[in-house]
Amino acid sequence: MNILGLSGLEQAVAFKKAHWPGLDEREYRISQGHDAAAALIVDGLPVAAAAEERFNREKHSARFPASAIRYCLDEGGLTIHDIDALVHCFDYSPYRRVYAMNPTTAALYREVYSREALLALVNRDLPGFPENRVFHVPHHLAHAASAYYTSGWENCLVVVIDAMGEAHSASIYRGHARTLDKIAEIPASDSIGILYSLVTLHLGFDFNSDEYKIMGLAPYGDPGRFRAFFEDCVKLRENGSIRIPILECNRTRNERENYTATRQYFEQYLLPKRQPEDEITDDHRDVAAALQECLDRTLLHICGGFGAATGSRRLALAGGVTLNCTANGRLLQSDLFDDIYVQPAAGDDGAALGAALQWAAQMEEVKNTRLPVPFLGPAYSTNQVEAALAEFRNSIDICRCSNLAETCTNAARLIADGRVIAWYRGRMEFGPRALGHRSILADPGRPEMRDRVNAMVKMREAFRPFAPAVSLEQAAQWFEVSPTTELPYMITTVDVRAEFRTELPAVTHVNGSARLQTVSAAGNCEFHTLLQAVGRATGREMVLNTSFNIKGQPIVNTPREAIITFLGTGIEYLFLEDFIICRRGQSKSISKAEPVLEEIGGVHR
Amino acid sequence: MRAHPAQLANEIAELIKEKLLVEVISPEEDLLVEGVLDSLTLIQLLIHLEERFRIRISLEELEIENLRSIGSIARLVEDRKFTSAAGGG
Repeated sequence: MNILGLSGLEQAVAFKKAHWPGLDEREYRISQGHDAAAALIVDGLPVAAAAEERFNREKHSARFPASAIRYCLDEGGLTIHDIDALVHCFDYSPYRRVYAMNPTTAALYREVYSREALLALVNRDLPGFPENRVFHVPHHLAHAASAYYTSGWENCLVVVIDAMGEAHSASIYRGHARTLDKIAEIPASDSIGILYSLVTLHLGFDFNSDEYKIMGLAPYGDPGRFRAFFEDCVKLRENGSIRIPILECNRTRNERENYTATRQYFEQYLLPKRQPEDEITDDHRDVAAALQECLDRTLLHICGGFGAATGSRRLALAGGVTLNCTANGRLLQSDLFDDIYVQPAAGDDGAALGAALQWAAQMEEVKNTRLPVPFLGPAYSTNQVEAALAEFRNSIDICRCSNLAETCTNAARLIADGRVIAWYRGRMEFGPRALGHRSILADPGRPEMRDRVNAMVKMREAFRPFAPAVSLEQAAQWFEVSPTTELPYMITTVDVRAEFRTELPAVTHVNGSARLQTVSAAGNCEFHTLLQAVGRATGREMVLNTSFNIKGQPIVNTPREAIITFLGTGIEYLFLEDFIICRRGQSKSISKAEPVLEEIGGVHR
Repeated sequence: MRAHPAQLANEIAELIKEKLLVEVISPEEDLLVEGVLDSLTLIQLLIHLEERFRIRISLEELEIENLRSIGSIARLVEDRKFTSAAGGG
């Protein structure tokens, strides 16, 4: 059976703009259905998955994922008529009568949430696809399926936490015998995800987008100063649930839509709102620290509470809140569970995968094997790479290596020499992290490297740390993990061993933590080969690994985008499959320290 | 055993006051007129009713009229409690 899962609600922001004109652009993100994506499951196994943003180049795009669907079909060698089920990761149908109560919510249901709204988009972009093959899965069930049916575990606790699904902010399931039984729910009016996002917005960042920046800012602050405020905000209940009265104080329709009463409360009792261009002060750092501490405490409470109630020692997580690496790290460090699995596309892009997996489970086809490193996106042929190179031949110099080993040796020498390189190979990652196929790499041992990469490439906030990618064999040597711990998705924070913190300045956060990616030969072969080559050149099988994009843009997808992004930044070399690329004329100024292009056969123009 | 109707109505009024910050004056006050409860608060109310009274309220089978007043909500809760205790939906 061929099942396509979908995420995204295309009309959500447009509806909000029509009915709440004049809001700040950032406030329109207080809405549902961002991160549209498509995922293809064939005979119970994931074959292809990608977010629409990687094709239309609009970050967090909510548009109906027509391009991602086209890619998935191509990858599977299928046409749309071969698809047995098209499954959307929202099901608002139980709420139809309630939404019908007043004109605005009735219109919201009709234009954004309803099956008819989805069918209109299907008819627009997939004309002729039969309506009786279009199905819906409740949002949190889709997230839960994305975690459980890729965990490889027969029995586990599954916790979904996001801003909100149709009406809930968290759902807890017991996964067993290839079924998911719901144990408990927390309503959207007590959403820890929405609280975190509202503080993110109040601190001058983007709701439902920039929460990871607050996580990055938090270690610079003192959590003690605002601890009491957030302890008062989030009430931990005995049964593992929570209450957030500060979100329940929004009474009018407008207050509930935009959480204006909660934000006014922040203004009065927390701190004044920061504009995006304003300086970040200790006040902001301290609020971020207390908020992150509050989230850590809340996740431990929810997961620990239901873990104890069910006796489960294995925890599978999904939902946007579980992209928070620090909170995941606290869970990992706790003794609450023997093993924790965070599905790497934990946001709404991953709900597309989950919707398809849940349908496969209902059809008794799902396999439930552990998700490999999620290289589920497109790869491009040598012909396509060469066509892109030809287009830019007047701007670049090109060398071709004869094989992967030679490519890795050259890349390793440049990294060891302090160069910043872009590394593009094979299939694109699914989910928000670059895991070694669309990455920018550098030596983590150089103190200046964080500022250099920030300035030359990312144009991003200087406080944000970069992540280390290390070979699995060396992970326990540098980081506080057991030798058998695999963290292949860069979604969990661990501590750098105290004796190595000064040796790894570019990837060690101010509190000694790092957002670790372990790389194994079995799961991420070519990247592992590169790390081994880097180890021979530097003594550390480790690189600084950050996503290949610039601020505000999605990660690159095609070879052409890779070259354009490379040329628009200060990245010194682009490794595009087995081609090495530098700017035209750069090779003439190559110092003795970096004779790579000359040594490997000259520059082709 | 069924709760006294007035006691149940009081509990529901307290729940609405606590969770939705809406003070309801009498058990028969119309909650669906503009400005009291709307669609989204009703969804939250249903979730709170389910949790507080340990009942399941199927949205597909729900008639909005059952939510028009504290009195009608109390009758719905009582009915659901009875159905659940009897092993039904």
